[in-house]
Amino acid sequence: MLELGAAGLVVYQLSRDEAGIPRCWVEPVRPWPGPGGEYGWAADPEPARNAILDMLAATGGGPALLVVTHAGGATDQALAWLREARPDAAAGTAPGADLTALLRRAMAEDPLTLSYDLVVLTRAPGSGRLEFAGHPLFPIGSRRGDTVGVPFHCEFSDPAGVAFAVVAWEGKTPDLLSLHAAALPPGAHELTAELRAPGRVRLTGLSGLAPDRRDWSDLIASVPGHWRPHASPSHLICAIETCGEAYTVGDRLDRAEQMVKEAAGRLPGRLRVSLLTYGAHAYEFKAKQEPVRVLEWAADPARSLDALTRLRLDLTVRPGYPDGAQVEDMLAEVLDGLGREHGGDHTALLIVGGRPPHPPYARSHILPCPDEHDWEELALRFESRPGATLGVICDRPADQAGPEWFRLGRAALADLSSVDIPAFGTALGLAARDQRINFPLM
Amino acid sequence: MSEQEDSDHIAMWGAPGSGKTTLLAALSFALLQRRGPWRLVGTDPASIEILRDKSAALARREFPPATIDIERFRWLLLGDPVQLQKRFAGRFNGKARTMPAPRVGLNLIDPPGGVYTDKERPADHAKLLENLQRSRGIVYLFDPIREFEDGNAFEYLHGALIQLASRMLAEDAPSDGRLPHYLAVCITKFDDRRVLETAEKLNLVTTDPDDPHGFPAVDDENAQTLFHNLCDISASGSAEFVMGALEQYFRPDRIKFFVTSSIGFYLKPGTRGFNPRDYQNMVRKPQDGTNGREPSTEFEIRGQARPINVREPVTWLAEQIYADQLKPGNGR
Ligand SMILES: Nc1nc2c(ncn2[C@@H]2O[C@H](COP(=O)(O)OP(=O)(O)OP(=O)(O)O)[C@@H](O)[C@H]2O)c(=O)[nH]1
Ligand SMILES: [Mg+2]
Repeated sequence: MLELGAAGLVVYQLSRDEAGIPRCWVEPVRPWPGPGGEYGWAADPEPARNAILDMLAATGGGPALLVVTHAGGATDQALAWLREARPDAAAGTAPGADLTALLRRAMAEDPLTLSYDLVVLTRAPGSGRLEFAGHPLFPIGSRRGDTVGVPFHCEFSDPAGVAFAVVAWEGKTPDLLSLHAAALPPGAHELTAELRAPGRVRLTGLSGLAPDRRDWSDLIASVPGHWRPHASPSHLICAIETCGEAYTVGDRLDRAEQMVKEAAGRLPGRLRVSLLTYGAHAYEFKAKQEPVRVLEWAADPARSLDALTRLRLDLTVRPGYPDGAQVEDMLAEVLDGLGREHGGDHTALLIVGGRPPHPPYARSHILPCPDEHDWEELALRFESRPGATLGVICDRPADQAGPEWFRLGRAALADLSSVDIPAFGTALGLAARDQRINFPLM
Repeated sequence: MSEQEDSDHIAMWGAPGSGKTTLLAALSFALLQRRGPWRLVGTDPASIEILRDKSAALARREFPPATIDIERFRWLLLGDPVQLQKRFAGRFNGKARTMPAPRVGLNLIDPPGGVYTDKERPADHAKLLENLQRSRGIVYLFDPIREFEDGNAFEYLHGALIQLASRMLAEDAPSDGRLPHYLAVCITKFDDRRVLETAEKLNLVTTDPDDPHGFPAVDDENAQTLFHNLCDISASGSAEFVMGALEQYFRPDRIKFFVTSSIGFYLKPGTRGFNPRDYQNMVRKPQDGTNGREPSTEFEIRGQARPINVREPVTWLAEQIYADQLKPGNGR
């Protein structure tokens, strides 16, 4: 577009960028060749005409529109010459108009030529693979003022928050139009997107939404390949041996309590706690087996702490068979309990005890488990569950714990009297080991 | 008569904790229970009582406490002449029914194991040696478990053997320079996993087709092989000398090996057959921390005591002695 104004000729280069957004480049004014002014170039028109046609040539492509904003001798004459040179260009007059403002408005009203999407992640149902996808916000033809509500779900993210990226699709490649972020608690949310102009989408409905300064490619790279649902609730299972001296059992209960508190503090609202106690097998003649007790299963931490307190009050410590304890029965019980659950949650099994498990058959001085439970096989089965960690707080230091505890505690083994609970919690995966997912999930 | 009986007795010998007292209990248990050519009776009220008590304690699944004082038992093995006649056919000359019941004195002295080497109890020590010397047969207990752990059998045996030999040889030297005793070498604690596994590895384990429970057993012919191998894996490595010492002091034709267990294998109540996955019959007792009392023995018997091969060494000795009694020129 050429503006024929009082001062001279102004070239407006109008185009769409790769995202389909109308763009306008206003070139500096090219002054009319002198002497023109009020009376035109009547005296000697030829040089002026040549100069104006040179200016036209310098604009590159032919103008589609000639607009006269200042009526007068020189502009009229220039218009006549230009029309002569470009008979196909439309021409009009708008005396005194602010063309820049008019253009801006027109561009904003321009319907979209590409569709706009919000960048989200989807989760493949079987594998849990995370894949990028575009959630449609505005289809082609959408206009300024169109709004759309977008319900989404989010997980734990980096402290900078969940990124909301609006892209335009040109063929197969998205073009990033805008990038915002908001620090949101995990869960369901909804945002509203409003098309303000081509290329301009206003997001509302989320508190703390602000431009995201993170590097786009870093953000893309931060997305894990697979959905590991640790970020959903963690399950801490405390299995406590109740044999031995009363004060030792008391110490074990203390450790379990400390761990529950530590984990609950780290994972507010996201921790479930199970509580089991186990004792010794009874090999005395015709003695009845004392079963593993499940005091709480996947309960609220507070509830489990109450149960621990009750346990402390009415615990009868039985000495029992001195060489082993029902670790293997407890493992079977835990696997049984977990079997009913949908897999995937992070599960930390903490064993607090001293006596080693019984072998499944006669192979050591420790008498075999009456049910022939194989603790090694059961431990392996537990460990092979996705998101499962097994840790042991043993009555004795690691170098005296014995091969069974060494094996069971290979991910985490500590000593009852000196365990560093926060560090042990981290080793059990009860720390902020959550996946960081920096995009909304659909 | 009573002198004769005294001189024909059987003595018992074994390192501390090798299972002497338990074997005695098992022996009374087994001889009282099983039918066979030999019966066991007490000869005085105290011995009768002990006989009853020991087998009752075993039936209660208790191990005897470690022996502190020498205990004497005057028992008598009474042979059934009809049954024995078959075995000793020819020697009875058809006079079995008119003969008095064969009898072998089982004057057992159950010493605290330590006494054989204990120089601080010279009186007891002398009595023991005398008892050994005067006996015709010796039940020698070799405890492979102790050998795995301490390996003290040789030291123990050798000391006593040298003393015994020097006493005997000084008095009336046997012609071949060996002791005249019959020796039943009992490998004890066959029920223990380590002993059973050693026997299994050596392919020595069989089962008696007549055994309703199918318990593992080692035939007497193979017992010596097991003994040799147990000596090989002994903790001190000196157990191999045990064999040498036995052969040096006793006549080879008067030594016989037995694989024994006083308590036998565990049989789960309500099941019939031996379970190779769960057969250990000894269980460590709970240590009751709440009342501060330590149990008198560390272990107890898990199920019923089912003695293995405890009768056989004693009756073998009795029969050897009895056969000698029948020999012409023996005054009978
Ligand atoms: N496995 C197994 N252990 C046995 C058997 N007999 C005895 N024991 C164990 O060996 C320990 C000692 O047995 P005792 O019969 O007291 O041995 P001892 O030779 O009389 O010992 P002292 O009197 O101290 O010389 C028992 O307490 C049991 O623990 C057996 O048949 N099998
Ligand atoms: Mg004893």
